[in-house]
Amino acid sequence: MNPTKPRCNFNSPSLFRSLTKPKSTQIQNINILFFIFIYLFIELMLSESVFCLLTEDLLIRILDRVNSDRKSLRLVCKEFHRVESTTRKTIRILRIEFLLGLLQKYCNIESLDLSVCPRIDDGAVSVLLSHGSVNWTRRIKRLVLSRATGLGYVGLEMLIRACPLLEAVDVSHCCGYGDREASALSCAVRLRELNMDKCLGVTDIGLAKIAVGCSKLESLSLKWCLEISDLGIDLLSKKCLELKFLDVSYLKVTSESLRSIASLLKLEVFIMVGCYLVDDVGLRFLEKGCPLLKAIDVSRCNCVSPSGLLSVISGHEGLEQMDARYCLSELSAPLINGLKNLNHLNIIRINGVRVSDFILQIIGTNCKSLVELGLSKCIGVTNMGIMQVVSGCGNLKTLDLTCCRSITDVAISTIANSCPNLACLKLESCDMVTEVGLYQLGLSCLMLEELDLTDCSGVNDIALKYISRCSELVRLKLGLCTNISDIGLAHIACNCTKLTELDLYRCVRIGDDGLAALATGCNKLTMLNLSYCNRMTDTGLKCISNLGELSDLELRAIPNITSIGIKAVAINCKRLANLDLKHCEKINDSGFWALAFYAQNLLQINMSYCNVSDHVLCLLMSNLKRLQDAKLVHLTNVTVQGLELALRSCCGRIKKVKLQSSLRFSISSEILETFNARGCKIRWD
Amino acid sequence: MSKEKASSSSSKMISLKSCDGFIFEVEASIVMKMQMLMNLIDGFDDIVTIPLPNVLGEHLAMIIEYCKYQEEAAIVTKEAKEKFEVDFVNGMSNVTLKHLIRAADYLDINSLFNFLTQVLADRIQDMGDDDED
Repeated sequence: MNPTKPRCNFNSPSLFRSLTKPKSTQIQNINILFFIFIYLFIELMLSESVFCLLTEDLLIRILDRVNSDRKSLRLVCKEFHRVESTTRKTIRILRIEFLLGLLQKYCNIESLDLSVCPRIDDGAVSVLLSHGSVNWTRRIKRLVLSRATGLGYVGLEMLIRACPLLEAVDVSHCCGYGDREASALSCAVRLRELNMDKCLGVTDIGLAKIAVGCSKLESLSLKWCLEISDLGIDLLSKKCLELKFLDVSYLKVTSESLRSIASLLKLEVFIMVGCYLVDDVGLRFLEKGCPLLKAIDVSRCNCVSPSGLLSVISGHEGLEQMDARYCLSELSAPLINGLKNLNHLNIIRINGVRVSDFILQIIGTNCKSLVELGLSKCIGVTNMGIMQVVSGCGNLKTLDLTCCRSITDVAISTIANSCPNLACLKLESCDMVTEVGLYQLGLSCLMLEELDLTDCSGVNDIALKYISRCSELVRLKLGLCTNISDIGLAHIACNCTKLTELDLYRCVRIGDDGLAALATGCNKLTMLNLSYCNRMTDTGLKCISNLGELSDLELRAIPNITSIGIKAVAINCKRLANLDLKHCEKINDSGFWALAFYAQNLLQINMSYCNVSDHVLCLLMSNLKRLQDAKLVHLTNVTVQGLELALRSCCGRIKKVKLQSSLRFSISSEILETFNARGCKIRWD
Repeated sequence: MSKEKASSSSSKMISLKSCDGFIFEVEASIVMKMQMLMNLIDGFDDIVTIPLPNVLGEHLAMIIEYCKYQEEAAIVTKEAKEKFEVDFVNGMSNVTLKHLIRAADYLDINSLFNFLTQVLADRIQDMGDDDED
């Protein structure tokens, strides 16, 4: 292909200036690149593909800067598709049918997420690894296998041995995993991060194997691994000396394990939520140990008292994060004195403790770099106390005042004026907050992203108008705010275009008009809760169906919605994953049929007390291949045989089912045993 | 934990504690046959008691007996070895056999696992169509 003579004037002043200005060569190159790009596009867009003139590495650098999502990028042309395939670094696989094909196409991936791929098992892994070229494993650094309960130690070991560069593995919530799986994990010699939350079968022996095999471990999470005892922690502390992050929440470890943990010289974050056997003696070991400790979490440890916490604080004046939720009843005087020395503290969460204005004043005067303060359910929080804290801590970004019922508009105004960077404010159950305080919030806190006003009866339409000035709002909770109506919602819809989560639980005055405004204005909504909004009808639901990103929708007990509305939602909301239709009695078979046919991404559904019949229920359960959790309590039109057939059709895929307890002895025990054997939990209501 | 000084690791005694509280003193060389516990012995020099929360005392006793025999089996003839194996499973109920297989799988003792699974396979083969267990 011959390039024609450029029509553009090379002596044009702007180009000359851009070429001779003393910028760095890289910026010059990019400028030239873009110029070539645009020139070629204009010259040759009618004839041949522009991009075959650009070499692949230039194309990669240009496409890196393009801000659209990868899927649409792939579909532009073959060159883009090829470039996208070679540069894709992470992938999350949704369906097991595509697993093999996708992995052969994307051979440079560094992060593989199989957590939402239902029922991946040893057989699938052995097929993956034996089929032709397995160069997709050569660069994998991160493997996410959370909730992949079907994968056993054989498959796990094969997968881990095939990935030589593996650095991070997440096997959380694989409840059946035990020491054999831990032994498989210890084959990953370069492992740095390991998440084993809720691997209930892992004992000290499995932990010891990991400690010996993965000596470079930097981050380990063992939440809920109840079989682990002091011995395991002791062995871990002797071998994994590089540990920076350790989470031993809810384990039955005693203070002795803290003696071992104190010897970990590089530990920076230590989390021990709910360790009820650990007391102040254990925390005293930490006083002299872990010199680099930056964050400690002792929430819900019943035996910890203020003096234990004081020992940790006195040893670490560089502490940045302190979490002591629901474990102390009050802060002793020495502890308050100790807080004076913590000038680097960024995060304090002391939910449930008794505070006073004096304590809050100390925090405000001394902890100047505070970014997050959690006082949820604290007794004794008053306007004066809050004003003293926020006037000292101007950098506050997150403030949690849930159930601090004495807070009024005065405090909110002070917060608004002192903390312009506020991003998250939680005021659940603060009844005395009204539009006066929220006016100030709307004026000053324009960076606000999350606002929780659940159960604040003082919030009305005018308040919503003032709040809507915070155009960066992403999460808004207005549950139980019975005084708001469509007018207020329209204000929010007009200005808060970035909203992704909205909770309107029991806001009974919301109707179709408000929802129409919402659907037009907030098209990025992913989570919407409209339970008990009685005035809603099918018209409103049709407007909701225009929200293309919607994935979580709760529509409990709405009496006027019928199959027409549900059909619209099923067809248009393609990403719908979580749907709650409990007590929606006017929805009949045609609505559920539409769900069965169109809502292919549904993961969880609650159909309790709905009018669905046998064959449509069976169709629903067998057609929705990604369904993992179904609540089927009191389906009056469904017979026992129909229910059994429906259960049988989804047996291999589904993970949780809820049924009414009166059926416990009517359903054949054979089905119950099959479900048990396949790892599916049946809950009886 | 009290430290026991041993002249060489092969004569070091390790205590294995079953889930119902029985403690068995065995030599380190026998514990090495249990692949699952091998890392513990190699990696940590001063370990004395290993808790086994997944194995019952009576099964652990039988497993240790088998492993001890394996240790001495090098100097014994093939017939004596076969006689020991027959005696070992003679009269053993299927339930106990299943428990032993699970324990052998958990502790990763290849020889015992292969032997017991073969025994169970033979029993299944010998079972008639109308035999219930």
